[in-house]
Amino acid sequence: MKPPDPEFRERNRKERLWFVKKQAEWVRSVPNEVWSEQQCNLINALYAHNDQFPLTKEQYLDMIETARALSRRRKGSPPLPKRFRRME
Amino acid sequence: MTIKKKGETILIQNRHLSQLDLFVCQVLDILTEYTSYVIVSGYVAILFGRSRSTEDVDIIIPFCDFSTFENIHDILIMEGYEFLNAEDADGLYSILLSGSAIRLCEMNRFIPNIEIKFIKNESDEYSFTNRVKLVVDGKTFWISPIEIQIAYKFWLGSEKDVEDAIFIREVCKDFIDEDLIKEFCLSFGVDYETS
Repeated sequence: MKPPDPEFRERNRKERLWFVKKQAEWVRSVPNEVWSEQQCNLINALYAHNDQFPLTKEQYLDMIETARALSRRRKGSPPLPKRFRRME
Repeated sequence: MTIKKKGETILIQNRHLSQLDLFVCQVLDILTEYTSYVIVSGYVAILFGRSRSTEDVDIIIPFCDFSTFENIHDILIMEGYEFLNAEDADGLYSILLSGSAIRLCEMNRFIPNIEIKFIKNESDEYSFTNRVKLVVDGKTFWISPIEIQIAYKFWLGSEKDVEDAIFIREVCKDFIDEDLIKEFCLSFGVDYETS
């Protein structure tokens, strides 16, 4: 499969960030009951069949380890500002 | 969204609790009998209203001796939870000592699960020492300070992390310390302005 070109990816990234800001704006604009009810419905629906997970514990942990190893996410700990660093 | 700040405590009232929230609350009720903790990463964004779910909730606890851990382990097992790592209390404790995390879930339900690890670096220590009390309809969650949470998510750098950081920054903009976020970003080597 041909991966999407960088221009498309960048456009997609910007659109996602725009949406996140719009969503934050909406969450701020409505009472807690409103946004939390929608969030609750979404999360509960995703967990509706979580007792039928097809993997074993070992397979699940392997899958997570593999995904983490392949991820571009940084690992470890960034340096804290000097004033917060532990005195040696 | 109505978020109130009462001293150092953040209050969110009239918020519906999902199955994920209830699961976390139940585990924390048990855990707090034996140790203190801080919640970091994605679940913090979810607590503030991000419309996504998560497979795992990251929790950092301070180092404890084996006997304390064994008590935590035994009570959790007795209450119907299991650890995904195929180890007994001794083995799980060794995993924690090695700096890795262990995963806890409801019996036969791998998702959601709680990833527990000991404090292992300065960021963890800062988050724990300066943890913030968030009260959601009477239920207490100790979360990482929002400013380091935002900068740390920018530093992690995946799409999901950056989106979480932007979401928290936008939702909490009335009471976050922008200068402190910038200080963390500068130290972490991430660009706050363009993030």
